[in-house]
Amino acid sequence: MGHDEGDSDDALWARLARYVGEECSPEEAAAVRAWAADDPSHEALLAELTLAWEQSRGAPTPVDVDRGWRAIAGEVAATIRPAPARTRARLTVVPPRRQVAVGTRLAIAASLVVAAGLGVVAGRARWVAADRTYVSGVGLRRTITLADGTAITLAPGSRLTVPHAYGRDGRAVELEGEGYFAVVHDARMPFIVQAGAARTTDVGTSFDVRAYASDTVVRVVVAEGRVSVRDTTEGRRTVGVAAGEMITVGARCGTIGACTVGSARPADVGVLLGWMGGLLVVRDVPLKALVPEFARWYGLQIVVRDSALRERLVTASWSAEPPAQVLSELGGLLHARVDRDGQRVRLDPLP
Amino acid sequence: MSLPHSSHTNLSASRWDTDADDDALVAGVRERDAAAFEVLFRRYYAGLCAVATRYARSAESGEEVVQDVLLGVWRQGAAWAPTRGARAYLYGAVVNRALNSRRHERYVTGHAARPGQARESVSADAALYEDELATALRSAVAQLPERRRLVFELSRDHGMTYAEIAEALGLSQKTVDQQMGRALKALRAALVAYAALSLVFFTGT
Repeated sequence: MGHDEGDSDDALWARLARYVGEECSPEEAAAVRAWAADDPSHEALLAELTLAWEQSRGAPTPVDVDRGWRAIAGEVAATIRPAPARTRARLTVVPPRRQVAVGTRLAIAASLVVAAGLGVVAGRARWVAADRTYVSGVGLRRTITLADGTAITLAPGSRLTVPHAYGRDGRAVELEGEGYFAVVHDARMPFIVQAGAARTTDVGTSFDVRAYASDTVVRVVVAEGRVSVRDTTEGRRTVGVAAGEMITVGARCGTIGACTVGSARPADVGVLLGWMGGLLVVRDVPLKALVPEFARWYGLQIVVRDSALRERLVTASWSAEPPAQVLSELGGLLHARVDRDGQRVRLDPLP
Repeated sequence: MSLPHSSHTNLSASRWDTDADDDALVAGVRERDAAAFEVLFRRYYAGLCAVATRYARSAESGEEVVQDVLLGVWRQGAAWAPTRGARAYLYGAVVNRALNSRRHERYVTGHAARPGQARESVSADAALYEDELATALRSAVAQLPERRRLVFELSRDHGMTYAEIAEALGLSQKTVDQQMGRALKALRAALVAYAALSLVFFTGT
């Protein structure tokens, strides 16, 4: 081993780094020691490197681990709460719609002036607490913990509205997009999620509701416990969904035919909830349905002019990788050319 | 050492002590064992925060990134399958999320987020000679190109193997090798420069 320029210099330093960092095999270590024994200048260099390595440790920055744990312990606890024993009855008590509607109307009036920091009820000037709205941005999840300990994690591009009377007149929230709900048990006040045409009710469980504007159905997946799902437009049918099952509710109901609540069926919960671990997981999803997902996750506007390409099915999972890498993988999967200009991306089939 | 008490989690008859190895903890977390998750959390939280703060806007947002990653792991349950072990997965995810959040802020506000300034504090009980040398060496580390610095710190400060670093950062092992070699070369240059300025070179060990 010498001190040449270029590659062999790199290789020498890499080998010495492995030696002082204790990353090398016994054979390599023996070779380095033999190299050092060969020449006093080698020996001196090795001693310098050992000292430099030993003295180069960075000082740890002070972190309050207890505080960090306390910040998330509530949500951890909420998801391990055992499902309450329950009868086979599927219908759970839902607060009368009128009550909720009045609260919502008041809240809407209040939220119109929320920017001014005031809440005004028509007819009488009164300080009224407004609804709270939580929004998750592009590519970001957001977790909200409500006063009763219920935790909601929003997927990218989602919105949750919590009425000001939450916890007093009932526990109903509104969702656009997708959210995972870990609900704290309260038999007096069932927890209700209104999303699209579906109303999901439970008492103490963990479940996911998905109702993006770009989806054609509302989807509910139950991780633990049990919920009952009802469509709130035309049909009156209510279906119970147990842990490990999912259900879909038609989101667009025309005048011809009723909205249908499908039946509960087994679900691959790990795939459907992969988003909570920061994974965009798709299984047999047509490319045209992936376009809004990519907008939500990576801020990319994808354009696909070829109609056959739009229908191609994609199965993949991506984590928080750089968009360039995700796009190149997508191009590889579809055998398509990727033309990217900032946020805009064109996909065209390769010959 | 007994597990720290937590009023939130249900730690009845816990079989997890703080010496449990990573693979056993991963198996526990996959089964939604909150006690296993707490041990894993406490084991890696400070180290992960040190890395996240480097890229995030502040120590607070760095901690948020780490909490987000760890909670994400908990939520995955049985879907979590770290191929090269928990450490490589967690550091990789934190680096990724922290870099993305910096990129996102640039998109949202139009300004590039400034990397967090890690406070370098010198340990008070080290000998004076070692203080000054250590400071000079850490300053050399701080001046390395960003990726080289990250690779070096994951190895030197966080005890990761080259294979774990390669997995965490999506690099080839050859690249990790090369970066470590160049980092060491820079350290040695700093040592020589320091020695030239001081009266004593180095004491025998």
